[in-house]
Amino acid sequence: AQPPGGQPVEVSANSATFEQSAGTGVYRGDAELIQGNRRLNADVIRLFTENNQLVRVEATGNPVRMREGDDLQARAKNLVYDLRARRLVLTGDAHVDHQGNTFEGARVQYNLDSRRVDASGEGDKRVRLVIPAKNTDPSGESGAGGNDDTSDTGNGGADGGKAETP
Amino acid sequence: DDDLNWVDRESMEALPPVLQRPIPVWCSGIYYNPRVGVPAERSDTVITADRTSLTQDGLIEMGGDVLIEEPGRRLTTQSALLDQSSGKFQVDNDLRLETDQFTFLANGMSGQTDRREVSLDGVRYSLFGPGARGTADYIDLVDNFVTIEQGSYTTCPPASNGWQLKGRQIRLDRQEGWGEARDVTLRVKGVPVLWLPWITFPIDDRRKTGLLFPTIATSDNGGLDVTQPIYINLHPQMDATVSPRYIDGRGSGLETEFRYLNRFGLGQVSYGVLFSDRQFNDENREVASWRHSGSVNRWQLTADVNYVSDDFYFKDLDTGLEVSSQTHLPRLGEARYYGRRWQALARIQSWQTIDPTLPDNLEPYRRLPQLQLSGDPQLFGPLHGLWLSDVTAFDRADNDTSNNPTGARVHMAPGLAVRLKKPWGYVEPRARAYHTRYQLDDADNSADPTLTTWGASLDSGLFLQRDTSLFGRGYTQTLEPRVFLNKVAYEYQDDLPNFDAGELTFSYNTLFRENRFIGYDRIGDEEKMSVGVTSRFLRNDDGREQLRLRVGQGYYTGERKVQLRGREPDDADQTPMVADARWNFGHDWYLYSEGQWDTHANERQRSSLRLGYTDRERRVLNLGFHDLAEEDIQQSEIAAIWPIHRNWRLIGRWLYDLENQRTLETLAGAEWRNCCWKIRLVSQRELVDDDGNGTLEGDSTVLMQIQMTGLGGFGGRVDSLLERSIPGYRSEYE
Amino acid sequence: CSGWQLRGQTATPNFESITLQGASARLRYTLEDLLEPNGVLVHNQSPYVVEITDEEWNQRTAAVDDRGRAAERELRYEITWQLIDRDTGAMLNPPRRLTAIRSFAYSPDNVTATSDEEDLVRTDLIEDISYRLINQLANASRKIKD
Repeated sequence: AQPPGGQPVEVSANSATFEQSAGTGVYRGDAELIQGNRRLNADVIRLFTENNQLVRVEATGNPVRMREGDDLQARAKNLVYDLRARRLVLTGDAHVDHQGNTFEGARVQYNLDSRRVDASGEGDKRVRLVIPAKNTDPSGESGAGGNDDTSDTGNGGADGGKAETP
Repeated sequence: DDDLNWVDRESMEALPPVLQRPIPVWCSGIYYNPRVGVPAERSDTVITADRTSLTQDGLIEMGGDVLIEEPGRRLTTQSALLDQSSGKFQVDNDLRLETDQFTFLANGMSGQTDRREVSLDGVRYSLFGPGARGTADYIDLVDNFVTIEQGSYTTCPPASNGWQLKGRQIRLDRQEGWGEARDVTLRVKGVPVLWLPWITFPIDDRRKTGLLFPTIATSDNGGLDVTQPIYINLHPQMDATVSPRYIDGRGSGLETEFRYLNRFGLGQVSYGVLFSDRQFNDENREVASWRHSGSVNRWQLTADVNYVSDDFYFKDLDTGLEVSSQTHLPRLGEARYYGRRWQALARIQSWQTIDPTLPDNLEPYRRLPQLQLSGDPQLFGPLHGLWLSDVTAFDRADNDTSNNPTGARVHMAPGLAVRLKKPWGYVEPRARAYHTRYQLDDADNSADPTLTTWGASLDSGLFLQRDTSLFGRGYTQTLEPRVFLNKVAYEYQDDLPNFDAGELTFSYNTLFRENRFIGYDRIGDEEKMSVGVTSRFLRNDDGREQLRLRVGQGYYTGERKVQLRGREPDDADQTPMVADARWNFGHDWYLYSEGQWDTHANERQRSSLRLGYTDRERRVLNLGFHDLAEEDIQQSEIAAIWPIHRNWRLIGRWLYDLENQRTLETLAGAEWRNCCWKIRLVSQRELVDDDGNGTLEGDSTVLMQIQMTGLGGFGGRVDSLLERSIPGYRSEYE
Repeated sequence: CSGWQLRGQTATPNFESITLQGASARLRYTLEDLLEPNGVLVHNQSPYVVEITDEEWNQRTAAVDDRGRAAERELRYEITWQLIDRDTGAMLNPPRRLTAIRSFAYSPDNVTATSDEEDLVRTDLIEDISYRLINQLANASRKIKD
C-alpha cells in the first residue's frame, strides 16, 4: 500500500493479524516499520488504511523507539504517526533528541514538514529540555540546517548530550 | 520580606557550613545566593517548562513556569524565546535572574548567550560584591560592566532608606572596582541632600579613599570647620580627592590629594591652601607634599618632599600631637641600588625648619647631593674587601657660615675582613682605614682639613641550642654569646667641621659598632670589648620566635678623646648595661621592654615598655611607657580602639607626662556603624606651643565623620588622625 | 650543662634555592645576604616561592620634650609572607605576619644625624625581620622535605 507522497513502508514482526474489513493490520513482537530513513521499533504496531491508503500508524512499547536519520531520535510509551497530517505524536514519558537538543515531557509532537517539535507537560510532569554547551553558542557549525525529508545529514548533528531524567 | 536574596544571620547559620559566608559583625546580613552554585566553563543549559517548541531554524519557545538553569545562573519566568542560531534570547514578561554575583527582578530581558550580554528593564537588583541593591529603569550587563539607567544604588539593608544614590546613569566596573554616576542625587532617609553632576566611588576595598560625607569639626574659636571630600577616579591606577574646606573665623580653602601607581612605585601628591586666613593677617596658608616609594628590580626610589607656608600651619589647621610636634619637614629625593655585594646611594636631602624656637645656627645641613658606594666583595676564600666611599656637598640655609662652614667632603673607608662562618659560630677580624678630605667654601685651600686614621675589630659569636618546653609547648632555645673587640686610633678632629656627626641612641646593637658616631665627620677613638648574650625561644611547630632575651655591656680601656661640642674626654671604663626582652604571645600580642642602667652610678639611663595587640579587624590596643633619664622625659601612653558591641567601638588615646604631671594628648571618641553608615565622633585635646614662645597651651578639637559603608568609606580627617595616633590601626583593616 | 649543643643546619632552610617575590630591593638584599652564604640560592626558577604580600613602614612620635617637640621617634616595620609551590600554586605555608618596632632619640638640633640614625634603625629592623623569616622558612622547609 502506497502512503500518500511518501516512500514505501515495510513492516515486520513476530506475528501479524489483519482485518480486511476494518483495513487494519496488527503486528506483535519486535515489530519494526521502516520508511526511507525513518525506522520505528515497538512491541505492537497497528496500521490503519483507508481505501488501501495507509493513513495512520499506532505503536506501543516499553518504550517505542523511532529514529529519522541522524536528525531525530525519539522514544515513548506510545506513538501515533498521522501520515495525512504528516505528524508524529509521542505520549507517555516522551523523549526526543532533535538537532542535539533533548526534549522530555508528557507529550511531544513532531511535524514532519516544518520539522517543528512541540513538547508539553501534563499535571506535575513538566517538559524538560537540555541544550548542550556546544549548542548554546551558535557559531554556525551546529545551527539547525533546513533539510527535506531525505536523510542527508547536512547539518552536522550535534553530539546529543542527553541528561538523564532527574 | 526581601526577595533579592538577603540572607540574615539566622538563615545563614541554617545553611550547611560549606555554603556559609561570613557576615560582618555590625551588619544584620548580606546578599548571597547559596542555591545557584558556581559557574562552570562549558555547561549544559536545562530548561523546564509546561511546554516548549523548537522550530526548524533553531528558535526555541518556552511557556508556562519556565525555569532555565546552568551552574551559577538561574532564570525563572512565564515565557521565553531562544534563537539558537543567533544566540539571541528574549523574555517579555516578569522574570527573576539569579547568579552567584547578583539577583535581578525585571519585567523584561534580552541578550546574547555567547557574549554573556544581558539587558533588563524595570529592574530591582542586588549586587553581592559591593553588597548593594537598588532599582533601575534599565540595566545592561556586558563583561564586568554594569550600567544602571535611571536607577538607585545603596548598601543599606532592606527596609532601610539610610542613604541612596539616585542617578541618571550609574556605571559599575567590577574588574577595576569603582563606580561612576552622572546627574546624581544623594538622598538621606528619602530627603535629597546633595546633587552632583558627576561622581565616582569605589565599590570594593581596593581603593584608599571613597565618597565621603563632610567631616565636621570645631575650629579653635568654637566655630565650624567643615571639609567635604569629593573622590575622583581618573584611571585604574590614579585617583584623587578634592576637598573644599571652610573654617569659621579663618576663611575657606581647598585640599587636594592625587594618588598614582606606576612602574616606578606608588606615590601621592597633595596640596592644601587656606585663602587669606583672617587669624594670620590675611595671608594664604599653604601645605604641599610629594611622597613616593617604589622598587624597580634592584633600585629603590624614595621621595619625601614637603613645604609649608609658615611654622604654625599644622598647629593651627591640623589635628594631633603627631603633626604639631614636628620640628623639621624633610625634602628628600633618593635612589638606592642594592646589588649582590655592592650598594649605591644617590640623594638630595634638606629640611624646612618649622620650629620657631630653633636658633639659626642649629639649622640642619643640607646634602646637595650625597653619593655613596659601599660593598664587601669576596676576594679570596674567606677574605673579603670592605669598601665605603662617600662624596657629599653640604650647604646651609642661613648664610652666616662663620662657625658653620659649608663645602664638600670626601670620605673613604677601605678595609679587609676575614669572614669565618659556620652554622654554630663565626669569627670575623676586620681592619679598616679611614680617610676624610674637606673642601670648604670660604677657607683657602691650604687650610682644608683632612683626617686619616685606622681601626681594627674582632667580632665573634657562638650559637648553642637545646630543646626545651615552655607552658607545655616544645621550643628550641638558643644561647648566642657574642664578644666584640674594637680599636680605633685617636686622631685630633676638633679642627674638622661637623656636618652630620652625631651620637647614637645607646642600645644593645650600638655595643657592636666600630664607629661610636653616626655620620663621617668624626671617627670615634676607642678601645672597647663588648660582651652580649642573646637567647631566643623558637617554637618547634612553626619556627616563630616567641621570646627573645638579650643582655650586654661594653668595657673600655683608656679614654675617648674625640667628643662633640667640645666636651671633655670620656674616661668611663664601661658602658651602661643594656637588657631587652621581646615576647610575642598568642598570635597578635607582643610585649617589648628595654632597660639600660649605669652600673657605676647605679641609676636608670633609659627604659621603655611596650604592650601591643591587633586582630587586624576591629581591635587595636597599645600600652607604652618611656623613661629617658638623660632628657628627663617620662611618658606613658595608652591608645586603643575596642568594640563594646556589634555596632559600637570606643576610641581612646592618653599620652601622659609623668615628669611634669600633665596630660600631653587625649583622644576620646566612639564609632557607630551598621551596613549603611559609619559615624565617628572624636574629641581631641593636646598641649601645643601655639605661638612659639616655648610654653604649652591646650588646644582641643571635636571631629565628626559620617561615612557611607560600601562607598569606599574611609579617608577623611578622622581616619588620618586615627592612623597617626593609634599605632597598629590601618584604615583599610575595617 | 644540660642539653646544650652546637647549632647544626637547623637555622638554614634546606632548599637549594628560593624565588623571592614582592619584596622591596632592600629586603631582597638582606635576605640574599643571609641566605646565600648558607648555600640557599635566590633566583627566579626555584620551585619554592617566598611571596611578600605586604611590606609597610610606619613612623610616629613616641615622646615629646617639655616644649612639645618630638623627642623620641618610633619606627614600625611589618611584612606578611607566605610560601607557594611554583608548579601547583599550592600554599605550603599560611600567610604569616612579622612586626618589628624600635624607637630612637630625635634631636631637633641635629636632624641630619637623626636621619642617618633612622636609616641605621631601618637596617636593624629589616635584619631582625629577615632573621626571623628565615627561621620560619627553615622550620617549614624541614616539614616539607621529610
